[in-house]
This record gives sequence, structure tokens and C-alpha cells, in this order.
Amino acid sequence: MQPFAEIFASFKRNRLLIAVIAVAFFTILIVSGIVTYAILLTSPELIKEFQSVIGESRTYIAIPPPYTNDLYRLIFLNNIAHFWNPERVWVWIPLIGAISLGYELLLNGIVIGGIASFTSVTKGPMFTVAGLTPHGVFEIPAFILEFSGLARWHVTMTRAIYSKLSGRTIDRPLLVEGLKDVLLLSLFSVVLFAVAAYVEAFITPRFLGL
Amino acid sequence: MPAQSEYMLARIEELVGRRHLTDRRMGYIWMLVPILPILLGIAVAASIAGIIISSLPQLGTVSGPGGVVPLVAQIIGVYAFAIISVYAILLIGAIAIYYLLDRRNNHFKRQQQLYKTLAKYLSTNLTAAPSPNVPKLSQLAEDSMFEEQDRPAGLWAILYVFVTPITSLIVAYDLTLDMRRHEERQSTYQTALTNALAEFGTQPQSLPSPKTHKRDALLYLILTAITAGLFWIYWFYILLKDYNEHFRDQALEEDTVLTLLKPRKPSTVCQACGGPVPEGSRFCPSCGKPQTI
Repeated sequence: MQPFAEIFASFKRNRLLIAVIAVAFFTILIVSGIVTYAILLTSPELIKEFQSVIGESRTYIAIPPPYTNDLYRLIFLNNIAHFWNPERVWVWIPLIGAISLGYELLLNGIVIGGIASFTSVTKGPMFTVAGLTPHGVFEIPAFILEFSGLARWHVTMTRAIYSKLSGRTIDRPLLVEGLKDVLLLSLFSVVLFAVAAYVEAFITPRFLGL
Repeated sequence: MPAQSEYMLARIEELVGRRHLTDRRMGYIWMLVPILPILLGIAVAASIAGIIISSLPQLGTVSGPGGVVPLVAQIIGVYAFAIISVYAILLIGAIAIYYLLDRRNNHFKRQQQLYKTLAKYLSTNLTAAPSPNVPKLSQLAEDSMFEEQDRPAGLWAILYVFVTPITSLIVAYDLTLDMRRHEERQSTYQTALTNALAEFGTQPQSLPSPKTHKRDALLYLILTAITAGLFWIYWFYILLKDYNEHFRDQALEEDTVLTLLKPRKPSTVCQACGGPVPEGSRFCPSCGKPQTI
């Protein structure tokens, strides 16, 4: 029972982080969705423009076909890039990396909200539900947990560095507790990302009839 | 000694009475400070996008209706409106920052003077054997004077206009941290004061326990960064609420302390029925006969 109690305690400790990140993410997503919907409703001629932009971008990115392990790997590795990709690991730099995370949250919220609205207008709301919900159920919580873990990392490390710089002793139990939380939240997010990538590669295409 | 004691009690009364000047409550209308920039940003972006989208099909001429010149003029109009609005919003924000810091400074200063005078008063009037409580009160008052020094409200308000995000975060961080430390110190002070008042001979009565706000300023700073600034709206609300609540609780505590310190005025006796009549009453509360004051 001990590990379960620790996991529960860790989630309880970080509930403010999880709640705030979830609220911020969904707020941005909803605002983006509403704005995109309003723009597309008032100027339908933009739909074709967007479709051509999306069509062109597909020629630049080599997306593997559905039902393949390559697609699964691409989605999974892209989603957990903060943990391994040298171009994106710098979000772990204490305090400074948090600003970059804010930008990513904003960008992800805007893009997902915009795409959801765009597909609802062009292909109907059922297509959006079938295309985003199955993997979104796992991916969005994974994304929120990943960001919560990163936020906990920034709080823990900044506090420790500040203590060291100001000549005080580092509160070791607090540091260990913070690092444990980071590990746990990151682990959960990676597992959820793996499930989400599997659903996106092998199950969602079935729903969309691909 | 009695004259000195009376003078100090009058000084305590004066300091308590001065709180309506120092402990200024800020209304929640100030929440416009973090909300207005977001609304303005969305409005300006939507206006420019709307102008461009509505002009796209008619573009082709230079100065005719729907041409390039009217389009540029419209965009410049929106841009000018945005610039004026940004400065107006910055000004409101600067005033808010000034008020937030100024009330913090004034509250801390008044409280330091009050606690110092209170400690002196108790040490002068304490008849019981010397106890560690009164020196502790003096020491806490001195610590507070050393650690809770003024923050330059005017300077931060001016800086806010030029480097808004950084200034906002620094001021919010400082104010959150200051309140936490202030409340921790006050909690220790209250325990010592309750004990000292018991030794002073007042009725054994615990002081009203103020609400403590254990906010983690660093966590709030990172949450503001990680949520692309959205958390700032909540943080600003917290800054208004926590200080307002602290001032309310503090007022209650000060009133209780003052009541305990003031010597009770003796009640007189009704000449008609012999019942007790409170000092200054025009009529007897028992029989209703008029009293001579």
C-alpha cells in the first residue's frame, strides 16, 4: 500500500499546479476555438486558404502512414521530446525554462483549439470528436502532468539554487520530496503519452475511416 | 508614572485610530489591471484581422474604396487606438502598484510604532514579576523595524510603465513574501501579547486569531510563467484579497487589545431604583428614570 499512498500524496501536494495548468490550457484552447470559429464563420473564403496551407505543410513533413510502428514512434517521441530532444530539453533550465513552457502551452492551446474548430467547420463536429477524443483523453492529461512535473522541477530547483546562493543550507527533505514529485509526474505523463500515441496511430485512423 | 502611562495609552489609541489612513482596503475593481491588457490584445488583434480579411477581396486599387490607402489608414487608426489604450492601461496599473506598495509600507510602519508603544506601556504598568513576554514584544517590534523596511512605491510605479511584466512579477513576489513573513511574525507577537496581557491583569481572554495566508511566492512566479501569464490574474486578486483580509483581522485584534487596556469606567447607581447605570447614560436601563449627568 505504501507506493499507492506515496503516489496519492504526491498528486495531492501538486494539485494546485495540476489544476492551474489544466485551467490555463483549456481557457486558451476554448478562446482559440471560439476565435477561429468566428473568423471562419465571417470569412468562409479563408477555409480554402487554410486547406492549401495544410496541404503544402504535408509535403514538408514526412508523416508515416497510419497503422504503422513508424507513426507510433514519431508521435510518441515527438510528445516526449522535453525528456530527450536536445532542441527542447532546455525547458529544464531552472526558472528561465518556465517562460519557454508558457509559450509552448499558449502555442499548443491555440493550435489544438484552432484545429478543432477548423475541422468542425469543414468536416463536421462528429469528425472532430472521432479524430481528437480517443487519443486526446490520454494525451491532454499527459500534457498537463508533464507540465506540472516541469513546474515542480522549476520550483524545487530555483528554491535550492537560491538557498545556496544566499548562503543558507538547502532544505534536503524538501528537495528530495520535490524531485520525487517530478519523477512521478513525468513517469505518469510518459506512460499516458505512450498510450495516446498508440491510440492515435492504430485506433483513431479506424474511427476516421482511413 | 500615571501621567506617562496615560500618555502612552493615548498614543496607542491614536495609532489605532490612524488605521483608517494607513490600512487602505482596495476594491476588486482593480482587477481590471490584469484583465484589461488581455481584452485589449484580443480586441486589437481581432480588429486588425477583421480589417485585413474584409479588405482582401476588394484589394486591387490604390486609393479607391477598398484600396490600399484606406486599408492602411484603418490599420493606423487601430494602431493609434491601441497605443493610447496601452498607455491608459499602464497608467492604471502604475497607480495600482503604487497603492499596493504604499498601503503595505504605511501598515507596517504604523504597526511597528503601535507594537513598540504597546511593549513600553506594558513594561511600565506590569506589576507582576518580570517575565520574558514584554522583552520579547520589544524585540519583535525591533525585528519588524529592521526587516519590514519601506519599499519605494513611487519608483516601482514608474518602473511599471517601462518594464511592465518584470516589475509586476517582482512587486507581486515581494508583496506575497512580505505578507507571509509579516503574518508569521505577527503570530509569534500575538502569543507573547496574550501572555503579557494575562500578566498585566486583564481578563483571561484570547485575542481573535487572524487568518493566515501561507502563499508560496516562488510557486506563483513559476505558475505565472508556465501559464503564459494567465495565472497573473489570480495572483493579482490574491494580492488585493490577502492584504484586505489582513487589515480587517488586524483591526479586530487592535480593538480587542485596546478594550483590554483601557481602565473600565465605573457605572453609577440610579437614584430612583438603585440599579446600575452605565457611565454617560441619560436614562436608567432598569426603571427608565432620567439621570443627571
